[in-house]
Amino acid sequence: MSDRPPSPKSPALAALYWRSEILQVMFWLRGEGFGDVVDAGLIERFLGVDAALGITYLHRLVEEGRLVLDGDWFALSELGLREGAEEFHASFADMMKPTHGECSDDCWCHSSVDEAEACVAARHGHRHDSSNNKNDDYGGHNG
Amino acid sequence: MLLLALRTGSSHGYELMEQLVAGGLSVDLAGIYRMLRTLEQGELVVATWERSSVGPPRRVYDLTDHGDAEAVVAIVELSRSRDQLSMAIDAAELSR
Repeated sequence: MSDRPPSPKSPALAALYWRSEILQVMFWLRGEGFGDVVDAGLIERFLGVDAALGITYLHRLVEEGRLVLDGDWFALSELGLREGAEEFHASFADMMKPTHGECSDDCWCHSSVDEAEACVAARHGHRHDSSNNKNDDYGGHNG
Repeated sequence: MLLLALRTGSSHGYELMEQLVAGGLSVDLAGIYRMLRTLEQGELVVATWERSSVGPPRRVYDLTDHGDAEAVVAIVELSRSRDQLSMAIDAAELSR
């Protein structure tokens, strides 16, 4: 099964791409009960990045304050944790946009998930009650 | 096989891996993660975050209608393969 599109070629975009992928894996693993720490080998297995490349990006995330390094182990910082959830949310944002035909192409709902949710709420004549949405804090509704 | 496993009900990554391993398949959690993301992006499965009082939120997967239809197709194809294998085995045994 082909499971991922090729990563971007330019260094800047590649860094953003792998940052997102790493944070998402770590956030997902945390939910599966594997704790908060990973090493480069684990990331390699999940993402298919070769180990040297994986280590490069992991250390970059440490420098950016998204990960915390403890010996050979990497953990999500508060920032990384928050962004891991957001990245998951963004990965599937296309599926969460209102159905075609419900809004015009220039509607703001196409610009962000927040706008899409606000648009849906407005069309239904009420606001989302976040206390009833189990997904709000961790990636929104995906379906 | 993930689609078939999800036909029995919603599940999370580690549970799915255990199901497949119990069924004799050799898979690890990394493979499950990559497959689930592919299926999610293909809209064959849908995921939500399940909150826990004792731990971090966990991603729970369910089949979409499209995923369920694909699972049914897989069941039919696998059943055919099983029948063909049975016939081949029977024929081989009878000819001994």
